[in-house]
Amino acid sequence: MTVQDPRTGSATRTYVERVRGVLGDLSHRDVDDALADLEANVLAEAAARGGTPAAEAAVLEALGTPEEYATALREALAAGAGAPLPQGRVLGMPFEFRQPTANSITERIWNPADPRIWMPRSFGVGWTINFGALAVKLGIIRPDDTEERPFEHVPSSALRLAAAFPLLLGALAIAIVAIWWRELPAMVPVHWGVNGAPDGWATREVALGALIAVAALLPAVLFGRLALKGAERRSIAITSVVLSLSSWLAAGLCGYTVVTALTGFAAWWVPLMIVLTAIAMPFVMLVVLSRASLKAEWRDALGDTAGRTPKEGTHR
Amino acid sequence: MGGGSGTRESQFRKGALELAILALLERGELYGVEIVDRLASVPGLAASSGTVYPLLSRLKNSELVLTAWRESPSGPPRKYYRLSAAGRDDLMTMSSSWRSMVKALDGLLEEESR
Repeated sequence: MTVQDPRTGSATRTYVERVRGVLGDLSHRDVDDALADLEANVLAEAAARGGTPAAEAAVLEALGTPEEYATALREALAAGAGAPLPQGRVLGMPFEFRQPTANSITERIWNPADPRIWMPRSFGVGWTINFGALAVKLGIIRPDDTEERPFEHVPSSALRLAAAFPLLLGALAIAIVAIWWRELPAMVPVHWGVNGAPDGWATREVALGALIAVAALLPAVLFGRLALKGAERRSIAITSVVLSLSSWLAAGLCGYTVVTALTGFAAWWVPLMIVLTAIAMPFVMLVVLSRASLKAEWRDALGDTAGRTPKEGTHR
Repeated sequence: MGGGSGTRESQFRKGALELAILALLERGELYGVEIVDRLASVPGLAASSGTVYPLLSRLKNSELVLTAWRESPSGPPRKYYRLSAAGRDDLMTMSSSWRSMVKALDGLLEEESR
């Protein structure tokens, strides 16, 4: 039994940290995982080749420079993102309970290159709509009308607008409740039957508190976290899209609850409209953001000289 | 060494190496160096660890291989790689499409050179 030379290991750790430094923009989960394996592989290889610092140095030498290794890893991880697979299946339904990342969400809800409209969800059980495939089917974009990493070049103005949307909806929900709070009855409707008449009630604190938490608190907390992390553009873009959907649903239901409680007005088509517009919204946002991003990339590629905007949607 | 990424030949080679790694792992689990050394023992498939390790990360990321820590009789613990069920399926489809493509291309290249 040979004991590991205590002088080995530090060169490997330095190497690994230099690789990590170059890959700051990738999913931390993927990078951590890949680099933990790299470290294990290098140390095991060094041990197999003699276990001395010289052996370790030779192993690291064979890897190329940290920058070269980072480039190879970046390429390898990008190529792996082609077809999202679910974590597993239950009763024929895909499920996924690993923590969602900007990458894992994007590759499922905006993946024009993948023709499947129904994708395994990025979190939970079941499917989600791949709006990218839908846009391709509808002839709005072409399957190759996308950057290698979608939303990487979204202009700051568009990004601010997208992020402001859920926050405004949250503020709207708070305003609606605050204005009419005193006039609201103690119990407000929380469930409506097929004919549109309310058939379930809860206290106004619980019902409206929950809706405000989703509409306003959730975007505030998530954007706060992204800001602290100094998140990249695509993370902010995709988070804005997902939050717009939840804030729209919650703010819409908040308004409807208040109207129903105050006036007794109820109609089956109002909740339906809220849900339908909530589904249409991410679609519109994704198309607009991806176009803005693509245009910015083209502009960069053309070096700002021509300033030409390639015509879209005329490829037929 | 290394570099040269993005060229058509290296893309092609990486695809072939991936298939080779899956084929090696079909016979049982291996750890990093063993994979590099086994590939090196096949003329034409030798690749530096700087090429092989990123491919292992990619295969793991796309869930075609699984990893496990194992104590080693000497030195630090090793990370062993083995095929997942999806990896096994992928190996089957990839190797059959590889064979049919090689056959088709061989025929075509032969005709051309005549």
